Amino acid sequence: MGLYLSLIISLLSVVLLFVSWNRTKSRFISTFGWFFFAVSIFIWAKILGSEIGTVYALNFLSVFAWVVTYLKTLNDNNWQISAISGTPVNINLPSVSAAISHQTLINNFVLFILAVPLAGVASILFSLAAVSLFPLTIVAKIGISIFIFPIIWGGLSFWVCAKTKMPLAYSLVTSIVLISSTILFL
Amino acid sequence: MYLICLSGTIAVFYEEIERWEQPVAEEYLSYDKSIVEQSFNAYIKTKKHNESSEHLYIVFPNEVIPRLKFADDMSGWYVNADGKMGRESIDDWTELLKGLHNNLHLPISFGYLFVSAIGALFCGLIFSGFLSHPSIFKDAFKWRTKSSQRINQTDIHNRLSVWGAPFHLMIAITGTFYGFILLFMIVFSQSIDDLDQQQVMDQVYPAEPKLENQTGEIKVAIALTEIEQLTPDGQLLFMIIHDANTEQRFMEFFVQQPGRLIYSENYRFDIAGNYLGKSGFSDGHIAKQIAYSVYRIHFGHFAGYATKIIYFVLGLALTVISVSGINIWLAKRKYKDKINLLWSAFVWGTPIALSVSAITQVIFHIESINIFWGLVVGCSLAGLKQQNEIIIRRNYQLLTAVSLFVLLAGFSIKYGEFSLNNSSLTISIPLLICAAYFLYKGLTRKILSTQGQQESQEKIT
Repeated sequence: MGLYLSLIISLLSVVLLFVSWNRTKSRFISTFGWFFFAVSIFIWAKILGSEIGTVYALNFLSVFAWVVTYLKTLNDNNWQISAISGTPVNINLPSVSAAISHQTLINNFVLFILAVPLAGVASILFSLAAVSLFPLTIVAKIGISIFIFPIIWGGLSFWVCAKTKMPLAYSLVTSIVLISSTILFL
Repeated sequence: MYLICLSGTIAVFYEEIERWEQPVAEEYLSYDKSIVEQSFNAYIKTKKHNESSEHLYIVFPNEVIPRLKFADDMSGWYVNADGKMGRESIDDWTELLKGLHNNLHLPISFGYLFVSAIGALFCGLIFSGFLSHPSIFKDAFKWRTKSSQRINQTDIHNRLSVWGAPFHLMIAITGTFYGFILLFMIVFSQSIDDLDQQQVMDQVYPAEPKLENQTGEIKVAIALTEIEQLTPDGQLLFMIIHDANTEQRFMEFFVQQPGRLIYSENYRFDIAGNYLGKSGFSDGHIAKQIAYSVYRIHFGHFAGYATKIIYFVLGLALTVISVSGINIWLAKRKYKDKINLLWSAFVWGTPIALSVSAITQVIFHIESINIFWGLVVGCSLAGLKQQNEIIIRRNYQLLTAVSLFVLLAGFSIKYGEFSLNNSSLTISIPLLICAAYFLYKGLTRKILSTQGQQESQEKIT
């Protein structure tokens, strides 16, 4: 019974969000949608425990939203059209386009070094240095740092790639490495 | 990332696949503790066990794999209900799949780090997706299938990624954990003057007990009785004998806790069955509990079969996102080159490589990691000889269907009536559905492709 109720509440929250989006654009309905989503977390947690229940509530939001999106397309589309219109015709393709120059490859390689390995080292050191400043147990320090580090690395990589001024990006990443190392090892 | 996502999606069912690989093993859920003890001690004395192995295992039956298994670090044997040694454990293709997901078959330490780094960078892709998508709410349920290929792909990519973001972030962060936890502990220990590396590790994972003269028979039955009292609701997973080739050996039982995401609570005993204590994963420091919950969150091994199905769907969506992201990038370019063909051939060639490697490994027991990679490379290069992406997709879907049919036919011939038992059908039926799906898509793609080419040719002329 509880399982069906939580499924229905999860579905209801997505349907309300969809109705708000599709027809009325009403903030009132969308607020209700998010409210029912919050309620669904509570009900899932009641049935399956707080840990598993929260994961279920989040996952069903995703699945139901995809189902609603798919069902909407069935109403207003002919699937074959897109398949045909996307068909490329007998192309004699070059090995690698002339648009990719050596300079582009070098620039991308430099960007890769900065956004992946260097940003990775910087984020590991930064996350460990940041937690070391707080009065936490060793387990908590390692636990928190390892869970925030991929977020920092991801954010830093994105920023580096979005930044057009490469020297500024290099300076910032190098500074993070130096300051964090000083906090950790000196 | 595509390989990691695809293999991870299939690996959600790795327990079922492992059971499918060896369908002739005897299955049962309940067992006699004294028979397990006698049989295990007999196993230790036989040549079926490698004496140099540092670990010995008893894997207890559960609803997913209702079999009792004894194993060392290299191989394992299923045990019949009467305690006699049964069939050899065969899980090589499962290991191939897990190896592909965990470390892309690279050397273990580097491979884990590499795959985990991709998990961290995946966080960056999630951020960039959100930040580069200003009309995120305006487009919340939009999927324009009538529009161009690029818009269609973009909508698929955005709808799957936006709504699935909580799952994707969860998978990315937990995936990063595996490769970096050791590195973090090493770096952290270097930064503390009065603690060495081992002491830091012992804070997270409890130190091994210091025992001496642990000789004689392993008193498994006494320990099992004690565990029933310590954790009456727990689901016994497996037992490890650590340092099995020394006199410091001890038993550690991994017991899953109901309603919890932690992998297990671990109970330790000496060889005589005396209780030594537990690891404290269920009620220790909150950070320790979270760290030990990573596995179940990442693989969806909690709350039964329904969770696995949800994880499979969400994982499949993640796989589509990883492919459609590259498709969008290719479509946004103002030109086409061989990369278009190579990418398409790589994407659709991987299922062929997986299914053919399953034929060679499961049916013929040939070491198939090289076959898998050979096929991935071969299919990708063969794509360069094709006319366009649609033809590649059609041909490769048909080849996947054929290889899956061959796999199922070979499996039926090899295992006869056992190919129709529960353990086999759990995987064989989904494989049959996949084969039928690829066959259908391949055949219908042919018609669409022809029509599409005619229509496009007419437009050109």
